[in-house]
Amino acid sequence: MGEQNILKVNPLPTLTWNHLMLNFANMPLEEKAQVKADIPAEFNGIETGMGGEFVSYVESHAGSVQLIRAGKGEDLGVIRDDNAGASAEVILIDAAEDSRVTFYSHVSGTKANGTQATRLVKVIAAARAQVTVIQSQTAGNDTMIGDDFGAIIGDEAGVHLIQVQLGGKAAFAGGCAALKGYKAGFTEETIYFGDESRRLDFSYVTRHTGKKTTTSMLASGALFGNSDKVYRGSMAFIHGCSRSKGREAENVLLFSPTARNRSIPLILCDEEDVDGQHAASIGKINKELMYYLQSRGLTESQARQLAVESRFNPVIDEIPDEAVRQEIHAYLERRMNLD
Amino acid sequence: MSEELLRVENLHADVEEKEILKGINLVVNKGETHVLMGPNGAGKSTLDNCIMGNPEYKVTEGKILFKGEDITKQKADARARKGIFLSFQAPQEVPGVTMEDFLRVCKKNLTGENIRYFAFHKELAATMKALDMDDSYASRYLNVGFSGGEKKKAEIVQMLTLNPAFAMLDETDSGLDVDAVRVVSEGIRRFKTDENSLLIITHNTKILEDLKVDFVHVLYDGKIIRTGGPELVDYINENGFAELIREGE
Repeated sequence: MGEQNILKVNPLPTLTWNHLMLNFANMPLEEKAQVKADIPAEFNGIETGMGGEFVSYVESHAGSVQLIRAGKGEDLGVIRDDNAGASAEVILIDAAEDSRVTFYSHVSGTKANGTQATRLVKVIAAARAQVTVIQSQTAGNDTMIGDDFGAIIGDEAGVHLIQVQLGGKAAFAGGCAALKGYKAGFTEETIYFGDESRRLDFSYVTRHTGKKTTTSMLASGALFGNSDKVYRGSMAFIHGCSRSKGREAENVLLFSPTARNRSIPLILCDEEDVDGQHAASIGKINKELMYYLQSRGLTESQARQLAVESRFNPVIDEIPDEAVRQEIHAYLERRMNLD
Repeated sequence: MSEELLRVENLHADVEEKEILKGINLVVNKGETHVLMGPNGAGKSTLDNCIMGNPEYKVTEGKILFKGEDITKQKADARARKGIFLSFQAPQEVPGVTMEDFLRVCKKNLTGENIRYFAFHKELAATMKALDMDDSYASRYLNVGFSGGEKKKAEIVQMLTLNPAFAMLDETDSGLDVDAVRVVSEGIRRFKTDENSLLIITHNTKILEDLKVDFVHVLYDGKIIRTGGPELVDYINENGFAELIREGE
């Protein structure tokens, strides 16, 4: 591995928790020759979850961009990322009024081309457009993962982000949605799996400026071994976004006394007429469920695996590729087969 | 001589350090149907759970033998693989795992054989149809959003699919309407052969109408205070437990 850049990523929208050193994370990425991608002007300035330093790194190393344009009323169906696993890639989605598009990108252990795979997806969703972005990875233990996302969401448009973070030496991921339009909606689902000494670091931010905007963010994870996870979920209700609602929830299962789990839910409120809620549950698989599963002949390890997968499956099932779903199930089975 | 399947010897068990079972003796032979009755809190579900191997129930004395092997210290999954099944009074929800996938994994695990997808799907659909259960439930997450009655039927579907040697039904009929009780009863009758055995806990004797019951046990305060034939069910229906409890004391 060559020289490294240490980037400041996943910043909280406002500095808090100074003593916990969680206002941002330091992410090491390779210092490589820069091949700047040509970014259309309308995509400049879109805020992402991982922040400006990461965006700048990926945009200056990607060389080219994948630009997906859905015309007015057009349904592009499902578009697969054939470049997934590249050291740096930029995907830009411009969804015009009433259009629909689903984009998915999967990095597997064999598809990551080197010691890092970084993806940056930016979305502009015009009025009533529906955009789904799925970033999944089952990278090997030597790969550094960075998955970033940013969207501007217009009137009655909906953007759905799914991030499946299961492998890698470390995985940094984030997302940011600017809900600017009336009744703009953003849903985000993350599942993560930590084992051995994997580091997982997430930051999701929503900025509600439009009236009656809605956000739902849900993260589910399982931590084994010496894995270390930080989850930041921030919702900002900006003055004027009346009758907006936001929900964020995180459920994590801890399987090891040496695994480290930290969660920072943050609600920033500059508007009275809003409803923001967060919830977190941290625990072990409930004993009754384990007993029920074991009473059907499953060993403790099989029951544990089923309980973890049962949390992950509703998200995995949304990946529009049977081969990828199978690969993810096989990966989890391999990593959790502890009997 | 009948072949012995289950033997419970002088079983004492605690739940949260309170003694619930106070010396249970029970023998179930292959092909037999036993019914366990008794007032609430007598220890009926505790006995089922001790036989299944619920770690929350501590056996403090006595032992449980299955097919001649002492299984008292074995875990629930080991007991299930030997052929013991419990239909739960309150089945757990398993979000994210469809009923069909769950049962296929369990069956493969119990039999050690590869399960052919289409054959299994067809067989499961037929089982569900016989229980008057829409086969769309097979592709739903197990017990999630199922009504109380559907959960109980799903337990019977599991029993019929996994085909255990010894099945315990813990108030499977509670919460079921009259028609559903009949359907579940029919499912139990379909399951029962000379090769397997049943232990049924019930307050509602309707579920027993189509079944050939061999023994009825009355449990009270952690002990079996009376064992009889099917006529004991009629006696309890008419007179309740009070007289039997008085005689037992």
